[in-house]
Amino acid sequence: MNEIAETALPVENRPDKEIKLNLADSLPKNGNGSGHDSAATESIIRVKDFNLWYGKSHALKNINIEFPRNRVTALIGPSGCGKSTLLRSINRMNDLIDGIRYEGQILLGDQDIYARDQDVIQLRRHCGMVFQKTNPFPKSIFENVIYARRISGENNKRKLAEIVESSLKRTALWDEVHTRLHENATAMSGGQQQRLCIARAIANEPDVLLMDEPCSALDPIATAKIEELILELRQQFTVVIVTHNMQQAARVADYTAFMYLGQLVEMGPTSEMFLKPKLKQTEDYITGRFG
Amino acid sequence: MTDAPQTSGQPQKFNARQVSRNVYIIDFVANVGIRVGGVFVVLAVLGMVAYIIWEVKPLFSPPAQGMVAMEGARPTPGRNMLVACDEYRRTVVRIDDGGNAQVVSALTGEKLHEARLEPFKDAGLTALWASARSTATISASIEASTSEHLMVAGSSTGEIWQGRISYDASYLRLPLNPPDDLLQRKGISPAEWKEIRTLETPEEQATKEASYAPKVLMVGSGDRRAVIEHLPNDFQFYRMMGARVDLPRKLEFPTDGAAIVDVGAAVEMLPEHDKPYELITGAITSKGRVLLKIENMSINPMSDEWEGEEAALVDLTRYITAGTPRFIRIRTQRDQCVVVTEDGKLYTFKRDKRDFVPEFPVDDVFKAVENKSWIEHVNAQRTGRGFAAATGAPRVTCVEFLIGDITLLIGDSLGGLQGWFSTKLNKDAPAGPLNRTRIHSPGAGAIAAIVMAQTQKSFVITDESGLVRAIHNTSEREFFNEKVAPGAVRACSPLKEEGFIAVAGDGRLHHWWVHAPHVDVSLGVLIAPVWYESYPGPVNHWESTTGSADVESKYSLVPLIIGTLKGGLYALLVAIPLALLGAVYTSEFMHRKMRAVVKPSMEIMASLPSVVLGFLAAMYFAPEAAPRMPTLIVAAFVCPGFFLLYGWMFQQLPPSIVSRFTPVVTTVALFLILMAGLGVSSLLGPRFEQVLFPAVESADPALVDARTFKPVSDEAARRLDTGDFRSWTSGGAELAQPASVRGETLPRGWWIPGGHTLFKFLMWIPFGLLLAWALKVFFAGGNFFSRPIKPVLPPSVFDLPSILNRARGAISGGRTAGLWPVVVNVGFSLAGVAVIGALAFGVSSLLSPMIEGLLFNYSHPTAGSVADFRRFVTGPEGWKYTQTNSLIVGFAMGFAVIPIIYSIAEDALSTVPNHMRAASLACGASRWQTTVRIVIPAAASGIFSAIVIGLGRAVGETMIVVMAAGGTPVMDMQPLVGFRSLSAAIATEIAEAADGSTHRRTLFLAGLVLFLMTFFMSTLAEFVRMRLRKKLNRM
Repeated sequence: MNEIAETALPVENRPDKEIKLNLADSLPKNGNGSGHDSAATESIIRVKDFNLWYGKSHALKNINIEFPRNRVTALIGPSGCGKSTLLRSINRMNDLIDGIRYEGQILLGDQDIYARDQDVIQLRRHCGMVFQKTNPFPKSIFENVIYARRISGENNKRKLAEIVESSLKRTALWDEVHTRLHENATAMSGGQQQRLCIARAIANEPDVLLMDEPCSALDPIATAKIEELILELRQQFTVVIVTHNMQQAARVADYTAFMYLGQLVEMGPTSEMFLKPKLKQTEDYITGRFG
Repeated sequence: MTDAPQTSGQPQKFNARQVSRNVYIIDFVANVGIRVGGVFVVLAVLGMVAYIIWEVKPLFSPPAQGMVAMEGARPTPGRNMLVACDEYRRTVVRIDDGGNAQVVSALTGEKLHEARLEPFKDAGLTALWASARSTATISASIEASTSEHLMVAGSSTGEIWQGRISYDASYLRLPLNPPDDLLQRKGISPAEWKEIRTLETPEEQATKEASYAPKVLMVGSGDRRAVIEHLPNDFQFYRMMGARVDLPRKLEFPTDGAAIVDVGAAVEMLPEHDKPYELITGAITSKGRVLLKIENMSINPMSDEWEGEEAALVDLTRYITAGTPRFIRIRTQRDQCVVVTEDGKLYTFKRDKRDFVPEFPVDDVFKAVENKSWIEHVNAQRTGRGFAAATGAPRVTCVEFLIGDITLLIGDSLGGLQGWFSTKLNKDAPAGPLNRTRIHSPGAGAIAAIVMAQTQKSFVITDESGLVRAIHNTSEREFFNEKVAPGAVRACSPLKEEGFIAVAGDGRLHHWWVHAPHVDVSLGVLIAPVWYESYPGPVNHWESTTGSADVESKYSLVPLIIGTLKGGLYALLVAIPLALLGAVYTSEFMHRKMRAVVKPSMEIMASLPSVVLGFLAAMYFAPEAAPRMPTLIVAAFVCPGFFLLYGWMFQQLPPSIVSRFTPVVTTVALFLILMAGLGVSSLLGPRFEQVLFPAVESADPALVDARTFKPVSDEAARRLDTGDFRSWTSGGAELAQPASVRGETLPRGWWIPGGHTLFKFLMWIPFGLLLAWALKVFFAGGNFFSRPIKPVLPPSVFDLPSILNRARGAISGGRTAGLWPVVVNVGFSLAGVAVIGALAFGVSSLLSPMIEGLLFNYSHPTAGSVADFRRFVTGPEGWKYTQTNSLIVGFAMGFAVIPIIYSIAEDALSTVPNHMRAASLACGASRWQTTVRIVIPAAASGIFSAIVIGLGRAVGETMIVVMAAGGTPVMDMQPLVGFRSLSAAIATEIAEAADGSTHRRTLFLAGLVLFLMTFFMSTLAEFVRMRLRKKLNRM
């Protein structure tokens, strides 16, 4: 599971600093171009005093963050700051790494996902994930999309076909691939593959969609399509996206959280974060003075 | 980039940084070295294949032949009765019907000497028989030896004389120009030492076996003339050869002066002194009397001649009820005598101490072949060969035993030629004392003579049209076919040292050499069933006998190929599940630290020498497993069952408990489960054995009532109350009491009434599954071939699941956490399985005897119709058991193959990129689902190539098979008998196969076949692996 561990870079020790964000205070009354009213923006994921160690390196330090429902939240920060680790903590993909240890709580709705009797498989069905590297299965496009449904025991052919159609339509792939649904997915272009991965993730009807730098391996046109798609998906899903691309965060995210050396530095509505960050450190990063 | 580019206007030197010359030199040397190495590897492989093909090729090359001129030969006055020659084909003996015996040089035809045989001064010679094989070889010293052939002659006046043809060979150590006194000492007068002729025999030039040009001379005068030949390997050695015919002894037969029509004889020689012990002589007179004389023989110490004391004179005339007896032949084993009448009645007589008694039925040589009369059949074959159809009633013209005296060859006036031997026939046709088993292709005219080869199962036949053919009886290859004379060819010398001398109707001699060393093998022999002597029908068999010409060598590669594949199959049956599951477990589930230990240790296992494995298998495992066979069979079901049960129970446990299982605990638990499985199997095995295969080994049939099959007493019951699987499957001894009723032999145990138990047990599982499905349909509905079935008791009427759920809830007391609900859950499920199992066993007990009665019925000698499935499992046609069997080899060879399959499959699984697994897990798949649906399909071609490479290794594996497979070339796939593989045959037999022999070349052919098999498998594996690489590159 080395590739999963790739993001687990050692974080140099630094005196812990309490950053307690009060979402109620910081949430904008009128988000980044979104027409949602504040009543809809309750938090779906709440991270409470979360610490995570890879062996001896302290990768996440006392994280407290809440992700609002049906909003896009971007996690930004320099490499190794722990943003991918935080993302993977949400669907417990970090469990696969040997020598991992954690403290604190992550609540999905009102359920502690690190509780002892938590069914990880159930959790992952609620939290879809899209990876940095496009990773369609070496199967047909059709089988890729319905993979999650198949493993949860759905065998009704008509229903599966419906799911494939709706998922591919929502990811704007249907027109491109509906004639070759039974061809191998690995023959598609990179951008199509990534949209297929998104289709695969949403076919399971998750609550949360976790995206780990979904566009970093794509060309600008494909990236634009994915970004467009993310804005669409916000209607239905809560999206958490890790990105290195500040412009991307600015374009797609309602909220942006800046992490540095395993700590959450600042979080706020994207417009605020980019226009008038509260902390000097955030401003330095956003304006490219370090990182 | 330490060298900053210089910015001055000077032109910059391209080679500013000198590359060391060494780099180029090493690069060049490495390049050349690798190329040369690669070319040499390819050349070495091609060279090996070329060598093998070069060794194999002569098996299929056409025979060579040629004529040796015998210009000096003059016809004898009378009709030739016999032609014979010595084993070097240098001197020829011919005897005509006037009793003239002539000895001529085989190379020139010049007469050495001629004499009229004493007994035939006043009578004609009407019957003559000489043994094809020498009956005695008397070596006076290493310098001289005499080989004698028994001869019996009958006269027109009814006298029978016995004597011999002897060939003398003496070895002279002489200088090329011998001094006179030396020759005198050797008994040759100097004047006679003159070179008559120097010859280079053509066949010796044509064949590589004797690529020398010997000088052949003739010496002596009068009766002492002989051929003398310069031996090639030492210039001073000469071989002098001469021949004599003697008829010293008259045998008293009550022939009443009637002319003798045919004679035959057989003699037993005491091996140590070449002394005769018993002589049987047979004669047929022109009045149709058939007489046999049995004599006890000795040698007169004064005259050195044979003397006989009559033990019995048997008159067989009264048994010949139809036809005129024409031929009499006695087997050398002196246990059977054959009399054939001219119109084809075949009488056989069996030796009974001092008597011969007739055997029945009397057969007809000219009986129909597959609904076609003999004459139609022969004519169909004749027209097929381009001969005109023969007419007239068939008459027997020739009867001779093939070497070894098993097959009787009978030639007739139509040119037809057939072989008969004693055997039980596979077919239901009534078997006579001899059965027609072979029909050779017919000649162009009536068969005139059949003469045997001495060293193999070949014979020369001549016919009235002048055609001479040489045929190998087993392979049916016709390796000589020439019209040697315009008219009939009457007689012919035995095929000796690759050649024969035939005498034509006009009395001319024709000497031919034939070089056909591998006629006993043909493509048909190698791959198709052949009807070997004494076999009940055509079979594929491998049995190379290089010692004696009496036994046919059986060179079918089919049993070896089947054995090879069988070994590979059983090895894979053991190796594939263990190696693949092990690889999947290591790659997908095992803890990283465990994996670092397990993988290298599996690779160490691969380096264990196979001879050690074979030794362990044959010396330890086979004898240890033999008494525990039932336990092992039970364990094959119980252990995987236990693992499944463990896995299922593990799944039932709540995550809070599962998370406490560390890798070490899991491993230890698996090991304990295995031990528990083995323990339970060793408890159950003997029980099963006792129930299913009750012992009757020591059982006296008197212990069991033959009619009711119940033990007669408590003591009998106790003695019968154990299991004995081995004796059940070891072919079966005779069952004295019931078997004697109809002469039927039954394997042990068939009369024990436990017959239905095995079938009951076998039907249990299908009945159980059927019952479970039926119950499910009954309460919840289901599908039958994708057609929905409505439940009989739908949940709305009777909701069994919810009742069970409520009961479960009640017992677990509403608790959802902790171990108790799990215990209740597991208990409920196990109880459900137990109830269904018990019901199924009840159903099986009720129904299986009926099914058994319908399908597996046989007729018992005393009890009439008995339904017993076991008979079809371990009966005469069923499973057999030998200690070193395919299962043992499967385990040992599986052990040798497991590391290869494991290692390659594990590599294939590990190379599946991790992002595939991550994608699957993130979709909510379990690790097992990820493994089965994503990882294994992605690695499928790698796994396939692992299996094929493992099969290749198993197929080529030698030592384990040599040591633990028993080595019997059986043709079936039964697990409890052994086999012989190509590699084992080569390993064990190549040392005893003579250079250039058919056996050796056939072994090389076996090697070629093995090479092709493994080559094909490796190529397939490589091809698949290349596809895998392409597929993975796309991910």
